[in-house]
Amino acid sequence: MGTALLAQWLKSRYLLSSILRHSQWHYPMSTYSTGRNSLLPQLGLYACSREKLSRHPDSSYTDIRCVHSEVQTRENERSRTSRSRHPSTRRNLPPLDSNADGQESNEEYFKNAFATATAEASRKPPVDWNQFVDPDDRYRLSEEEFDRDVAKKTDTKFGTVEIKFASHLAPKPTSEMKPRRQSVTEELAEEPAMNVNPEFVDSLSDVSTDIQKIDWEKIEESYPEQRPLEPVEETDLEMAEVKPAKQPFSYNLASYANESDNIKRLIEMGVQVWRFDRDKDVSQLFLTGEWEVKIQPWVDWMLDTGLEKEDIKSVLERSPRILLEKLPELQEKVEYFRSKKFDRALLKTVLIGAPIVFSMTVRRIDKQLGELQHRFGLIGQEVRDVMNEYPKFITYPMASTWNLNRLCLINEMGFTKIEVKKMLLKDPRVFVKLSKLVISDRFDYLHNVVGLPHAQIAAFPDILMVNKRTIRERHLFLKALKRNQYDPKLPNYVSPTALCFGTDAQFCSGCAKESVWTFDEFCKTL
Amino acid sequence: MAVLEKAAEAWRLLNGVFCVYKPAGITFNSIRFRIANKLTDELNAMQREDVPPLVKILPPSPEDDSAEFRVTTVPDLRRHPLVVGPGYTKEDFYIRHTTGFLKEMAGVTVVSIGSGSPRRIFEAITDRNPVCTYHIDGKFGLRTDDYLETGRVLEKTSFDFVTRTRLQKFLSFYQARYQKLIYQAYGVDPQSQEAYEMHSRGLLRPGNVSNPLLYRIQCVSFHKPYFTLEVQCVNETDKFLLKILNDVAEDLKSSAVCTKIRRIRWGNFTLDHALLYKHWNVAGIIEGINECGPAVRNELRLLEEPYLTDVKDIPQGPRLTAGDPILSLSASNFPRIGT
Amino acid sequence: MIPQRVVSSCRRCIHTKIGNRPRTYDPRFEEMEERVFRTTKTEPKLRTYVWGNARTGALAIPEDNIRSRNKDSPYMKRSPVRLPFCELTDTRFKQTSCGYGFTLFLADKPDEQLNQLFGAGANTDGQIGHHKHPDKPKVAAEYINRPLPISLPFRNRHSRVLEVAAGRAHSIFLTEEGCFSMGNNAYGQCGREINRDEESSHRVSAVTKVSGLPKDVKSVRCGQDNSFFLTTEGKVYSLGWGADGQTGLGHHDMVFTPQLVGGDIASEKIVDLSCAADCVLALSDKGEVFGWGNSEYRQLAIITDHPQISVPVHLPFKLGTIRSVSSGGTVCGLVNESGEVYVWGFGLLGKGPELTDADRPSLLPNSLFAAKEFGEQNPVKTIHCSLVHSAVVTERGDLFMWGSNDSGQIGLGHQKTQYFPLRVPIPSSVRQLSLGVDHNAAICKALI
Repeated sequence: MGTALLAQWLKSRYLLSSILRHSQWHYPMSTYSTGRNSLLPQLGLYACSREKLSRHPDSSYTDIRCVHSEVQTRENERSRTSRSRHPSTRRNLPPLDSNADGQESNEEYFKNAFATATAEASRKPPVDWNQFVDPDDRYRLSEEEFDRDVAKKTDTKFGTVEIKFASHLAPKPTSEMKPRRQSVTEELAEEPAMNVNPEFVDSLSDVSTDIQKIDWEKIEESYPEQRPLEPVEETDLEMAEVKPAKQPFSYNLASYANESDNIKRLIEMGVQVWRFDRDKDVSQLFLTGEWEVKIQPWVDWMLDTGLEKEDIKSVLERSPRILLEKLPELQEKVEYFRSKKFDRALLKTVLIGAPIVFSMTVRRIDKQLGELQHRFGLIGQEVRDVMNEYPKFITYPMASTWNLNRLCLINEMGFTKIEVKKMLLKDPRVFVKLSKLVISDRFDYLHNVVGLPHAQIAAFPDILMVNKRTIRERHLFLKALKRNQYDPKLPNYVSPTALCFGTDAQFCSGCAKESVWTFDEFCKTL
Repeated sequence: MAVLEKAAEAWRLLNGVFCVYKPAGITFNSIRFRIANKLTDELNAMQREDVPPLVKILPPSPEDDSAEFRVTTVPDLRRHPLVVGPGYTKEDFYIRHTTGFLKEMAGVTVVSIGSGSPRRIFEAITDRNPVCTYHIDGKFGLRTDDYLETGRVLEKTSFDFVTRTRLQKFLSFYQARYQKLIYQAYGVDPQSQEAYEMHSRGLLRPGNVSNPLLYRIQCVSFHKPYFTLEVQCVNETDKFLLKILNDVAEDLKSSAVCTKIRRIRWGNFTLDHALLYKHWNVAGIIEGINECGPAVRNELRLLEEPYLTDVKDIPQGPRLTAGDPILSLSASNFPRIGT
Repeated sequence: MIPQRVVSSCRRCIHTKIGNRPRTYDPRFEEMEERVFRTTKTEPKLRTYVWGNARTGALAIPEDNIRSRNKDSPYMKRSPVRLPFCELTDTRFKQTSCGYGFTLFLADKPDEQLNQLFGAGANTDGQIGHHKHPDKPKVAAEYINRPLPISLPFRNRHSRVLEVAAGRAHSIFLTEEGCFSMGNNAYGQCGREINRDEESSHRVSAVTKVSGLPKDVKSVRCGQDNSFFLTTEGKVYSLGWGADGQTGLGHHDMVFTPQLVGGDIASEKIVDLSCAADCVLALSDKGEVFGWGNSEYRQLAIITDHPQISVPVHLPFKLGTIRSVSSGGTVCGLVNESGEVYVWGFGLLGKGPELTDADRPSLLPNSLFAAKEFGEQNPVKTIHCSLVHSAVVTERGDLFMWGSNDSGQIGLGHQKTQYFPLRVPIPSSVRQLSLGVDHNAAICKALI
């Protein structure tokens, strides 16, 4: 019975480890002082899955209720409702610090600790959170890259970047073991819970030997968190900041702002850190990544590409995912752009205007630029002009946005290809930011009601970006005053830009020659 | 003129009941979203309060050998605006407004911002039926299935015999027909002396909820084929108003569709109090709350009366007089071909 | 709200389709036929509305089922109803008079029609003439429920009837050839010599030409058992019963030859006269009121407490120039130049259930009649009082009624007593109104 339970527990530990290799969040330790805390740092397993915790915040981070195991979820559901945190109340798993081996109980341990505690022993240095960081957490997407012994070195323009792997990770699963893809039910059907596969158990030998090798007492002595009931003096450095115990999770980066160096540096740079709260990968990066390793190379790359220091912060704010791109790939794209005669200023515009472009594959960028050139009939310089005007253009899917609008303008609204090209060169946003219905609606009003011919609308494509309601109010006002004259050859010409753009005050004084109050009263009659 | 620099001051002032002019074409429910979005953008752009300091009491360090505790204040980065983010979100605003169904209906809509007394005032005001005045623009000549110009055309009729006097005769008949219903809605025994006294005082607003009642219907402008009716009514629905136009035209042996509906008065709130779309921001709303104060107080005072209000007590029409040149600029005075 | 449509003036966008939104201008719109219901030359037509008690057939609406007990019982019409005879035969009436259970109609444009006089209702005294029962050919009709033509013994076939008046059981017709009368003559109201054994019934048709009248008789009026004749010079001639002094001749005897009425009106030009029961009020061209007859209900109490006055007396009301005056069974009313309505007398005066008698005229508030509306003036023009109910007509033709409502004669759709004036919804403007005892008839002009 005991062995079966132990085997089950070991199995669960294996599954946990496999999960945690791919888990989302890795947070530093909490101040919950249970004996189990001591185990995890050494193994490098952090059982804080944010999803799990967000679902059941009362469950401790040490809850080894894996989601993938059907058996375990069923069993866990029974005890899920119980809000006890103490490990001894869990029915599934044997408590770590049990009296089975005849060791001293918790009470005795604490008694001893209290007796032997000294002031000097308690004067310990503050916690350095970064020591538990696992730098290469989940960014290994494939098994081929996994090689714990070899430190990867990449040659980049900024020098060789060495990415070291932590040595305390669990070993790679070998083919001898059962493949993970087989479902647990099938496993159990072949091997019921009571009968454990000895091979399977042997394969876990590394973990178990690791566990057996652990010197618990040493950990407990040296681990700074194991001091809940030790006397704390006023002169302790930890008493300088009396604050509530840190939760094992947080929904924003603000709780770490005082402690994390990265965040402090970001604040100094002027980056809006609150924008990263929703992005798990990026927040993880800023919390646990080394600045010099994870962030500075990218910053240097951006400076190298042509950005100023002020521009870097806007790029980081709006699209921090650029830090998750690989530098060689980013450089590849820069090389591609350079090959297409994008000069330094243009690259800077593109990077600032649409950093997402650098997340697209080169092939895709090339295809998009090619489509843009081909469909509109642009020469190279014109393509570059469009990218200069509105770099985000190529990030939109062609068929459903700008090509559709282009075809609609040509076939349904009767613009010629040359006019459409002119519109693109003047204001590419019209093709991309507006839907076909909106363009049709506004064009219909401008052409049929206001009376602007195609050539005039093509000369001022900005007016299609303006709300139809605004144009309607102003046009009807001018019509009531009999000043609606849009033919440039006749006197008292009102240009479309004067009609659509500008504040009401400018419009009223310039075109309508009435007071704004009159215009307001008129608007209330519409 | 007061200048508000701090977002917190503006936030405290954004509590009250005011009214807006809902433009035609947008749904009623979008009013609160638009206002909330605009207010969040504006408040977040205003000044914020400074970052609160974090007090640190450092123990005497062994190096210095001074037995004193050092007290330092460090800016608390957890409260730094770059870390915390914008101070106001859309969900912070509790905005309610009087709704309708027809999104083509423009006009005065009462809005309350802030939970607490504005909410209670709004509920009290809107529970009782207000006397609303509408300007309904119609066009003779055709009849559609949904009474609007954008519907499917069912019939085309001539209208050259229609004159303003003939139209007005029918309108007075409509008015009189509804008088009977209004008196019935009072719930007073028609055989009693009280009924006579009420009748001799003039038309009053019924205290209880009733069917749509028409108080007054006039023809405001008449340029064939376009005409405008001013309707003063209680408990109306959009279909009721559209149907009135249709019925009036049918009685005139012609047909008409509705081109525009505009609410120019909701209880005590008139067009003068209403904020245009471009004024749906912090400054405009605070001013609006200020201007609508007397109107709100009037409404609350009238709630205590048993039969609410005498129609004559409400000042008639907007501030402009009949001869004002601005009125001639109204869009309804011009043929709407092509608009 | 703005119609989305395509203007094909621009060659380039002929094929433009505005999204998926429906077109407002149906392509069939241009091909649709324009329906014409009226033209600029059509004039509003005259309509006759009747309501009240229908037991005697006075409403001239033949009903097939007379035994129904439905809400819209054929025994009464509680709301004004258009006379179907007019619509079916395209006959337009221009004047009506309601007596006690019968109605007389005078047709418009007599040259175009065969008959100009019609009557319906009770014919017990031959007040409508001799008619055969429509269903029983050998029987004379005692109660006529449809308008039947009345023929008068004209010398000239094309003589016109100018006015009709109906009393309790007699009718007076004013024609180009003089005045004719039909019906009961028990008190000499028909202008014939009183014959005690006279059998006035539906089987006898006795048409009398009233003699002794001057040729310039302008108007005829009927009281309960009286007849009055107004001349163009403003003189009044009276006939009939005089027990209450309603003949105005200074005595309380019956009169069967028309005699000039003197008293305070001898030097006045009388323009209008009103009598429904026994009290008579006359209006001069200067807007002054004269009264005589029964004053039991304090109608003439401003002058005297005597219950009967047999000589016309001037009633010194200081209410401005009076434009309309009416005397009913117990209630009297007048309307002055500015449209103010005053009532006095006894009974349902129109000021609520509490006020039952007033010997001085008391004002009915204008707000009851919604006289001043937004930019339009609609003052009260005439007042009519009958035995138990009264009515008021405004300038634009709105009708307000109050009083006893046993047979639905108020026209509001119920039979409850109406203690104050309420508007009767008639979808036309009332031009001429006649109140009978328990039924009414109105000649209206359509609004369009």
